[in-house]
Amino acid sequence: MFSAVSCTVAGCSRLAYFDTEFCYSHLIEKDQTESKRVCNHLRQQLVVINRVLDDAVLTAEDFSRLRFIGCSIRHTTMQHVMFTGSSFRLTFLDHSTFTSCDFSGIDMNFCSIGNATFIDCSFENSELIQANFNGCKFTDCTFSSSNLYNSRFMLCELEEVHFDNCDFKRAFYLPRSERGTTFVGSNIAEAVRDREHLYL
Amino acid sequence: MKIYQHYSIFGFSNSYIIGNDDTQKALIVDPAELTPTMIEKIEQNRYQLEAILITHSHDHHIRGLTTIMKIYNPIIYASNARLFSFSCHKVRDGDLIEAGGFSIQATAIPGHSQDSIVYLLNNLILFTGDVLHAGLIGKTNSAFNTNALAERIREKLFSLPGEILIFPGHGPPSTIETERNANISFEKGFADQTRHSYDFFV
Repeated sequence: MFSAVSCTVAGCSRLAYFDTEFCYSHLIEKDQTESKRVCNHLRQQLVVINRVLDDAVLTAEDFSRLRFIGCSIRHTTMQHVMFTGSSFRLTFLDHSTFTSCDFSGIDMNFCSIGNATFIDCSFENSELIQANFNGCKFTDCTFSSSNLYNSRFMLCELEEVHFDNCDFKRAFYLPRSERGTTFVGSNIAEAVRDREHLYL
Repeated sequence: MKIYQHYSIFGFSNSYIIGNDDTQKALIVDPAELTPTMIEKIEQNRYQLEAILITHSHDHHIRGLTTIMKIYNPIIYASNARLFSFSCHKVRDGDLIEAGGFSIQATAIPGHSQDSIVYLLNNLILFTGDVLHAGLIGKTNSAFNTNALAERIREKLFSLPGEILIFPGHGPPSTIETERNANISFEKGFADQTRHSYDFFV
């Protein structure tokens, strides 16, 4: 499920932020404490449905085991945020920056995380089904023991990224650059890895 | 607006139900099939299925029409006059459709197929069918057509605001902004490196 309400400011095509009529950038002009209010609210939830958290800046938060359904979390900056065991369904996290965040044991289905930057993040033991990681930059990250069915890693920049014991069935793996990536025990041969076979 | 995505094993394609809680009406985009889960979504929300939007007439995107038309009575919007035995409301480039309480802008982008149409809902959500996937454009049968399709996408879709969400006919979702930055089909020499064939499975 994805629900969308656009910002009420004329000419703004962004989505309205979390229970308000404005996008984050128009809202923050009015209320600087908005980010704190959102975090407090999220911590009390089990399921977050149809929320827009675009442009938020979060540090040292624990959103473990939260379920995000139909959310937009784009252009955010997160540091030391825990999503351990969380689930994401039809959620957009594009153009965000995640530093030392934990996504291990997550259940992700039909999500877009394009052009995001991940530094020292873990996706271990996760279900990453139909996830769009195109254009992402990964540094010191691990996807070990994850299911990457029908996910896309196109034009990514990968540095010291581990894909050990991963399932690459129907995945597209065509990074722009890679250094120090490992695939021990993975079925990387199942992935689409060259342009000639993109459509096969 | 509520969107439910359904992944069909038949052709590995995506179908979408778009519900409007204000009008209690719903649309389906590219019904690859109609499963009990999809019917449940429509019925549980008490939606009246008002329209079907067809992005192109490949079998694995329209196969569910036969089942839908047995149960519901929606208007089928497509760039074809008929699909199977059902008559359709013919959509042309630039048409503005009002259905289910949504404002839908249709844009014709032939290349993957002659009848390819993309639908922009409420200036927020773009259903691209097989014209544009996450990181990739639709398959064509020659390098010339691939370049032509890429050019049409650049002209007609990449001029839209970056925030617009893309829901394609296959694979994961994306945004216009992400596609502008990370789509392999816009890399130099892409068309000459891919293998072209007449097999339009994807």
